[in-house]
Amino acid sequence: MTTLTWPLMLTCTLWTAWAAADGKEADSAIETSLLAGSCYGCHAATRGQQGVMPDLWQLSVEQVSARLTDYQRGDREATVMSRIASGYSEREIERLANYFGRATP
Amino acid sequence: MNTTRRRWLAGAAALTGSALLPACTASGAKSRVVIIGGGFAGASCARALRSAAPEIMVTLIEPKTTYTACPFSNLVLTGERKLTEQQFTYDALQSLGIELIPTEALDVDPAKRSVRIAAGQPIPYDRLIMAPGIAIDWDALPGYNENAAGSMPHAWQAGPQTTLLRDQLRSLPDGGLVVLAVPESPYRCPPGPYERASLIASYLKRVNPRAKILILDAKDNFSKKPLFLQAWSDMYGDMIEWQGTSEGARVVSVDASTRQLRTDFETVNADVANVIPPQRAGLIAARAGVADKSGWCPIQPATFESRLQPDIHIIGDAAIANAMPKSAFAANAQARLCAVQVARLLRGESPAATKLINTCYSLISADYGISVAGVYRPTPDVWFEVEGAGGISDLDAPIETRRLEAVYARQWFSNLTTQVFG
Repeated sequence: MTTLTWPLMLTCTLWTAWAAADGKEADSAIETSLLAGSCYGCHAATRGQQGVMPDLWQLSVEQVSARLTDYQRGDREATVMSRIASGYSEREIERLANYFGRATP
Repeated sequence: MNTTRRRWLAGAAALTGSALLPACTASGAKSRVVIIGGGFAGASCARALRSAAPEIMVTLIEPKTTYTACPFSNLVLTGERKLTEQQFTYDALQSLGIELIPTEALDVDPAKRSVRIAAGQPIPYDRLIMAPGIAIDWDALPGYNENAAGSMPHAWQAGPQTTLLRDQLRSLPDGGLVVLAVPESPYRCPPGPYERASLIASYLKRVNPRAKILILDAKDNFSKKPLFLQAWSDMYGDMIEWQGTSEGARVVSVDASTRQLRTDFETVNADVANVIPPQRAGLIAARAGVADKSGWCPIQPATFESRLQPDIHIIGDAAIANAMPKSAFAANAQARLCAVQVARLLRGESPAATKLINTCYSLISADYGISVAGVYRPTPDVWFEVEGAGGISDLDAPIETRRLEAVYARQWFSNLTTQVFG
């Protein structure tokens, strides 16, 4: 059993490392937080900061998801966000929505 | 080492697991990351690394006690902002436990993994992050050297050059001619020269309405060109004239004593000449052997690790990040990602993959803003722009959108500087 599992684990881990390095969509928590990190170029990285950009930490899962999807489709008025949201997949939007929407205050 | 072998090693490192390889050196001491350069890239990276990996010792080598930010320095030219409002200290970084070494980094020995500094013993590192920004290429434009910059300022590194240009604009003769010489790409802040021309026009329209601004460009296309051309014509009439390289406008030499600029086509006599010269990575990049023949630093996209030297990462303007422009926004985004990757590599984990964003705002006047944005993903070879995303502000957008983008531009600068230096 052990002798069979090890090569399998090796293959899986190597495959994951390769896939990640190739820039394919990855799923780990760290990658979700990196994805969210891109938002901090404009939006506050911590909750409760004042400013004219929306505080992402105050939005629910549904709000983040709906807004990004609406921006993508051009259904929501935007300055720059429609151009940015269009660069993300459905899965990535879901991860961002969960990240900001489920963050504990 | 080639990419495949590197990636195999990253995978192998991941296999052994973080529990077996904590962020410690062989001697059992804490890992040490040294960062050269305290601009938006370096300072942001130091901060991000501190928060991502408290177990790593973070050392920042930066000789200047205050950093003078380039974004928004064009508003110093119009008198809206004071230069001191562009300046930031490293106090907050130090209070977070980042070690600041206030001296110049002179050289790097990649084999010994140490940085030679102007004052003190060499600084050893486990990984080095270089954020040296740009150096003016003083050999690139005949007649333009450090002396010439004293009468024909570049103002492309904010500081005394910015106030020099501001003061020259203030004493421009009535109906005088301001010339901006713009280099070929790549250079720091692609839309910067055009924002500068716009804001100089907004100032001159008020105080010297017969003055003219001539842009002599070494290229035919530039960032947000349709938006700039539209706004110039709407707001400043014929005050701004832009000429591209097809019209022979590339500046081939300058004479600082007469304020003359010679192009492929003619000789122009300027009352104020803002010469933005060709640039390359900050000088230490070449000394460390991380810059290539282009003068910039080739990197592995996902980790920003040098393609030329081991254990060294390059971020910000100095790095060749392909589709990502040389902007403070991109520098900050790269810095945050690089911090996470370096922490992971030191723990024996494999690099994580993510997309990055860039947004560059430009002001046409104090309350008229435009932007260009992009979403980027790393392939094994390049930072690639995601298709179907990004682009420039809508050409037909109402004035309210322009006003909003100006507000967002200001908020962006405030957020960025608070995040990095506050």
